[in-house]
Amino acid sequence: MELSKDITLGQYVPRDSVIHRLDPRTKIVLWMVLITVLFFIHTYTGYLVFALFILWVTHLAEIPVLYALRGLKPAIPFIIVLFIIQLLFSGSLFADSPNVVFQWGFVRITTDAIRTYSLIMIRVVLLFLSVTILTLATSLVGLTDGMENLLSIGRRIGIPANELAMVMVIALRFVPTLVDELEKIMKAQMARGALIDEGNFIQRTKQKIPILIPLLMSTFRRAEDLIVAMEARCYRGGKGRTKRRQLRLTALDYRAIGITAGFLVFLMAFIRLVPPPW
Amino acid sequence: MIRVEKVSFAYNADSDSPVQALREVDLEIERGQFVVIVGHNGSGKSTLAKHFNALLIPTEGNVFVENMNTRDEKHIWDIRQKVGMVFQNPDNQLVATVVEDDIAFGPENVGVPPEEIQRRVDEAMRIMGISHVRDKAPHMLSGGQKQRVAIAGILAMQSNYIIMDEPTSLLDPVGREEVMESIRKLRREGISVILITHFMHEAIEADMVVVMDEGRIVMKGTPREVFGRAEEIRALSLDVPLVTQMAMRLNDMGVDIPRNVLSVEELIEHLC
Repeated sequence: MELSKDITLGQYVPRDSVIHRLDPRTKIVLWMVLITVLFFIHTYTGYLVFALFILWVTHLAEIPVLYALRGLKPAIPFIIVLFIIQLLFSGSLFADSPNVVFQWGFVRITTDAIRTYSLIMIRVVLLFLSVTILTLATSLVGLTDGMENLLSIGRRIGIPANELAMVMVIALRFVPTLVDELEKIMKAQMARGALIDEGNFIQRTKQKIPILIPLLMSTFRRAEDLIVAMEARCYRGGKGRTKRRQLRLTALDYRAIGITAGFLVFLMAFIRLVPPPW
Repeated sequence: MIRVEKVSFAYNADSDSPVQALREVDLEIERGQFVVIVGHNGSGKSTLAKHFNALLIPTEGNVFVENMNTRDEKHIWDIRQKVGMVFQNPDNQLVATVVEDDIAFGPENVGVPPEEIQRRVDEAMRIMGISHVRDKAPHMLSGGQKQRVAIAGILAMQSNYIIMDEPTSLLDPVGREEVMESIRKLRREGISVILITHFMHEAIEADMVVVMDEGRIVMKGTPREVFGRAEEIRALSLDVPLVTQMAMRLNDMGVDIPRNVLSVEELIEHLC
């Protein structure tokens, strides 16, 4: 019943690595570029090069690769099942492919199908690994600051950058508080004989109602308090607001941008030189 | 100076059933004063407090903060910068995920330059003695620490007045003492503190005690004057501090001791 004990927001691993020291904006932008590029790779060798680059970044960030991949564990059965289902039931998509490996009734497995779906699975794993490295090596505060700063470019076309960042910060701030509250309500209801996790699905869902309604009510009350407190502290949206923490690009950031650009050029050349199927 | 002139206030004033919360209140609070407002629930003390920083605008009468009328919309942010507020529930007033960011919230809102914000944040944390928790998340702090963070946030805004609306009522005794100690520090910094409370002993160190009942100020004066009138205070279903009660009992029993003793030290001095 101790929920708040296992609450870790995000999965930031504090280190003093070069990757951690990069400006969050650099990391967010480069990361977006990299995952976009990921969708243009269609060869095993291309993915291998990309994977080596990501592993190198992981190493630079001083994060054990196994640790970074740990989050993938619950998804592995899902990925395998998906792979098999796609292989078995997509024969019609590859109807004109001559390289049949196995055929039985409507199940028709071709080497082309195996190749296509293997590539998709590799892409999913690499995508996951890239996202994980970003969140492992960037604090939540850094991420929100970076997002706010990047979004503020769009302020002129009406994107409320500061307000969006504020919403995110408040959400993050209140998650642990609400978890505490949830725990208190659950204990209070259990003390009065409420059942929490018994019976079938419908019964269990019904048992959640006397917990969720008070939580909802108290959340609204907190929200009202918070609005008054924010107004008392002169909050009036992003207009005329300054930030204590200033983001500044350093030589390190330019190096990271340069290296990534160099890598992308190399990757493109490599894909040209080593054409499919490998 | 905060000047309250003949202020009346009704919640839902425009509806058929307005609730009259303040009736013709007059009050003046000087820079640097420590004022305690007491009264039982529904006496209008919190409503009055919300008038000092323009969270509420009087139905009748006027409130002036350093000669700015709270009715005047163009002064509203200047007033709120000058008059900070600490609320009852420490959890519902901290907005950021990190202590240091929360303290910076006020100065950021009023557009202070970044280097200056950092300087003020450091200074505020030093005064409130919370520098060691600067990068902790608010939910990892104790109640007393959270209130000190809230106070530091107002210090960093360089307010001249700090209103505290029952800041100790949800805290344990240790937390309460932390808040009282913070009030002493604020006074040393020359900042006015306006404390709303129903713990009478928190009023002992005040320059002025204001007693409210049914939306009116019924008593106003130094703690010694106010607590000397114990019978009237009891009639309002309020209490006088424990030490004062004891002195009164002794006085009733014929011991030669004044009826308005305010501290244990004073009591000892009179007895020995």
